[in-house]
Amino acid sequence: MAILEAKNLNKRFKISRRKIDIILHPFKNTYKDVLNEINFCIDTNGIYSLVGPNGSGKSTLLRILCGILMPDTGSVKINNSPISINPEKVFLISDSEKGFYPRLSLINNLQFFSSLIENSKPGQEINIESLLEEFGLKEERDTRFQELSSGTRQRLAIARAMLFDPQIILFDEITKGVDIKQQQIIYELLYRLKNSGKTIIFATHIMDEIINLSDKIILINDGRLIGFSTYSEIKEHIKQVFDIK
Amino acid sequence: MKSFIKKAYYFIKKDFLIESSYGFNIAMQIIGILFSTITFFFLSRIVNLSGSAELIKYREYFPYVIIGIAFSNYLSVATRGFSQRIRESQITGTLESILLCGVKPKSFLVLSTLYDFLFSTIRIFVYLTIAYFLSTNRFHLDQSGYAIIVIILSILAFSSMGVLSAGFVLMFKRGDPIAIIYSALSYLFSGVYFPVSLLPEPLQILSKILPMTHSLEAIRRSLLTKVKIEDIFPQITALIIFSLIMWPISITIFNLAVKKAQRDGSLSHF
Repeated sequence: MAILEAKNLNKRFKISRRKIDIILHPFKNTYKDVLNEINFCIDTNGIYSLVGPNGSGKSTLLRILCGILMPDTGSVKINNSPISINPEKVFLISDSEKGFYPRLSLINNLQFFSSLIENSKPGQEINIESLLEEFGLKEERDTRFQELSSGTRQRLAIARAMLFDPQIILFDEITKGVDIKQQQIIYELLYRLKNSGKTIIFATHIMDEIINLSDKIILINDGRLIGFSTYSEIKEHIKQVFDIK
Repeated sequence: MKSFIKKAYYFIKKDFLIESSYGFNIAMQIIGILFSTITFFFLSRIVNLSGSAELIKYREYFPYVIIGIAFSNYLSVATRGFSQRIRESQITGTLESILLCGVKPKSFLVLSTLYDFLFSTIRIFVYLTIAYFLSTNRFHLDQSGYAIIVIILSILAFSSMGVLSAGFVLMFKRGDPIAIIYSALSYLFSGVYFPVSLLPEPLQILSKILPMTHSLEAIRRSLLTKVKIEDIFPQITALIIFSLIMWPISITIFNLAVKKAQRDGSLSHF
């Protein structure tokens, strides 16, 4: 059974126009194709990197996969069911600088988001304290979010995702603005998540992450799927897409 | 239901912690109420009641105006609160985070304004307590039940406009004309500061279609005069009719706005 299946995904966005164009042609809209017939299927858990140059449609694809953005056509299925039926199975971690309450402490932020869990199964009560321990957040539990470093914010974002125990975790630029030490901590966390049975898809264009972290690579360019394979099988395509000699 | 109560508790706690993190914020708001109440207390001494038959009914201007000002808090929260909370959460990026956690947009609207309604209720309580002790006119506290019924119906009626306004903010982000025009009309024409009967005839007709007019009249009659529940039936009916007409329209427009934002990816844009 496929863990995640993206079928015929298409998405285009309206391009903002100059005021003079709106006055001269009020009903003529121009569109940009952001995703074009994207098809892929993930049937084993692991770490998948979503690779492509800036503006290739990575973030749009992640947002469609988690159900926050609707595709124009096509569908996303999790365990053979539409994403709308099981939205809690997928969790997107995007810009970790935002999405939390800046004036609340780390622990109050986590407590707030844990209250949003809809149906916790019996015996699956969340132990926030153990989550703090697991993600190395204990020392800063009472620090306001606005005073946390980028690395801590990223770990907090992962801890929040784990509150919901999703099957698939999507990351949009997982180590953006994070120092080397924090990067290593985050990479180790990813391996731990993978070993606990989670499927991870992370958008990146950092070569080290593509080569060392990924079990498989989803390569896109200009909204089209170029390849879905291991690094050794797809590296020539990656070089072409990024124009690397 | 248990899950909703848990969420409501954490939403209220979160907003309280944020508000109280700004030093004197809450204390200054309460002091502001004290000052404005005392100002109106002295101002009311120069108001001539004989100018309006409606005012004579209430015997004193001071409790009349304080009830107007106090309950207009609900109008303000209901019409602007929803759209303000949507906009705040777009800016902080928390709207998307909360929706990602499986909260429905309509639930988010309700949950995110609970603290505002609760704090408004405290503000109103402070206003009325000060007015109770400063006024020579006795309040009919035995009729508080009538006032509570009217308040619940008023919040429902006012909130329908707030949801409409939230839909507008989702679509156009800023410059929400619904809340601005509706609030301005309500403050001016529904008897917050002066009786509607002082307005020219055509404007009195306009005041009749504003739910605030009926809400204030029913609350004032409940708290300041001896009435039976039947006496405020016309106002209660007007509030129910307004809600029955406006809620389906507001919900439809809000749902359309959410769908549009989910289609064009602008849910987190601001």
